[in-house]
Amino acid sequence: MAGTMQSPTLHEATRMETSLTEALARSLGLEKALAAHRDDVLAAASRAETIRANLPQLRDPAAEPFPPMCPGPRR
Amino acid sequence: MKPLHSLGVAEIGAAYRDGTITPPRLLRHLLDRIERLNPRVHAFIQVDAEAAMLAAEAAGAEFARGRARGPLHGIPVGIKDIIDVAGLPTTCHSRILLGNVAAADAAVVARLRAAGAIIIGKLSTHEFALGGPAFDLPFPPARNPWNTDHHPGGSSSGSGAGLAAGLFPLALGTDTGGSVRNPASQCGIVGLKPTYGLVSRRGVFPLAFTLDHVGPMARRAQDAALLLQAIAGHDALDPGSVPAPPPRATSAGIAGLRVGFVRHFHETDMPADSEVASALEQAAALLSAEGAIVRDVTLPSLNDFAAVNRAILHAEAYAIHAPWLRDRPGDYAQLTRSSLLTGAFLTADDYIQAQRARGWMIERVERALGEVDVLLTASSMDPPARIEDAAEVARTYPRQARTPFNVTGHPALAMMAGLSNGGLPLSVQFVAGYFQEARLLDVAAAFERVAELPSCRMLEED
Repeated sequence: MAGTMQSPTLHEATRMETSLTEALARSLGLEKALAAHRDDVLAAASRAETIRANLPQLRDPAAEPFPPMCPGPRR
Repeated sequence: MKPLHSLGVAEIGAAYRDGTITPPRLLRHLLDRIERLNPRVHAFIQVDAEAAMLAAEAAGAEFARGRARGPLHGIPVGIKDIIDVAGLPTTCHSRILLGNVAAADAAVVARLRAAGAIIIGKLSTHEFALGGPAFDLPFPPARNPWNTDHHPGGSSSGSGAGLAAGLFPLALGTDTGGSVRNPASQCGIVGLKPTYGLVSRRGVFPLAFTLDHVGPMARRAQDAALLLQAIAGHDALDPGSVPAPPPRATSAGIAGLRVGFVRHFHETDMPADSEVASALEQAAALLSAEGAIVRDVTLPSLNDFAAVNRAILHAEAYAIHAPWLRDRPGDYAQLTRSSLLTGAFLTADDYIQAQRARGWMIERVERALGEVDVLLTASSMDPPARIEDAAEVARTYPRQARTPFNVTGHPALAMMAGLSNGGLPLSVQFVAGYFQEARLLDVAAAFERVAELPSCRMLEED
């Protein structure tokens, strides 16, 4: 199958995600954290993914995010 | 007479007025007790004995002249160490802020001083009010007075531990994902997260701006009510503050109270430990027996609430901590660092979707509270784990039903509901409509009267 794109294996995909995470961390100025606490950086990225996956999705395009907090229903 | 350290606020006030005890005598008793017991529970980061004694002597002189200022006059209060007290360090229990001395009192501390309260010192917390107990910090974590092998909950851990141990009668905590109510649940005391905006956050180190609350903690509901009355009030310098009438105690009982039991939180969303589930059923039965009308109520799932709370909390907290995470990541505890870094990997879309979902959740809780007077829910799904069992602490800490009401801003109160077979506190949570703290505190006081709750053995030690 020369010349065709192959799907990455799970191992490769994980490696790719890790390298993306590291690149993102560097772009955010977190080089020191990455150098000394790499496991914490990767765990944080994984936690963010889990949060994202669990966020409820609203169908109403007009649902407002403002005000971010006040005691009472948003008008 | 009961031991001085176990007296409630009203009892202390009556004793001051009739001259049975004086503020300096009570304070000396508590300082002696702190010296003996604090090494076991680590409730304090710093005791401010000298300034407290000066305040106690001033209060004593006022009482001697017949000038009683109000219910908190001469009452010692412990302050969580993310809340500024002028002249004292605000370390947030962190190496990052060692040497950070507050220039001014937080608004809540200023209100306490105006009410005549005595600031007794700064109390342990989880680092920056986040995470859990950690052993790689400049101060040891607080321990649970019911059994010092166990954690006391947090992040207002010193507040909960010190109250249960009888080191002070009142304390302030803060609550972003349940941090007043967790130690209240685990230490068998009362903790109230007020309506968002009722109590000023000015001078309190922020964790997440739109989730942060300051709340009263006490051994009994009546004392929490008195503390809330002192600290509640509009503050034009806090952008989240809301003008609202101060909460007033009422004498309403339980008869006729409409209670919505949110069973799915602990039955299906996050199945609770059997002893916790049993305590919740007993609480519902007790309320029914006293004349309450208890019915099931359905809210969005705990999983939905938790995701929204975490997205908002981590995004807002990262915005605060990013400079230190870049420059000094090694100065955080491992648990805090890992947690705070989460916000780096959330997107603007995640944050805005969470804020949009928040509006939907507020509507759902408001709708439920349109049909009942209070909600009854689980608080912690498990009794407190052993503090040195990091895996069990990590498993049980997120198993709770407190975050929903940080997301929606409704007032929520956690309190003891019984004891586990292992002798550790079990808890319930009551939730009411916005600014209905008085109703919550009435329900809690009535529940205390009928539930015959035990007190901590350490409180009974001389």
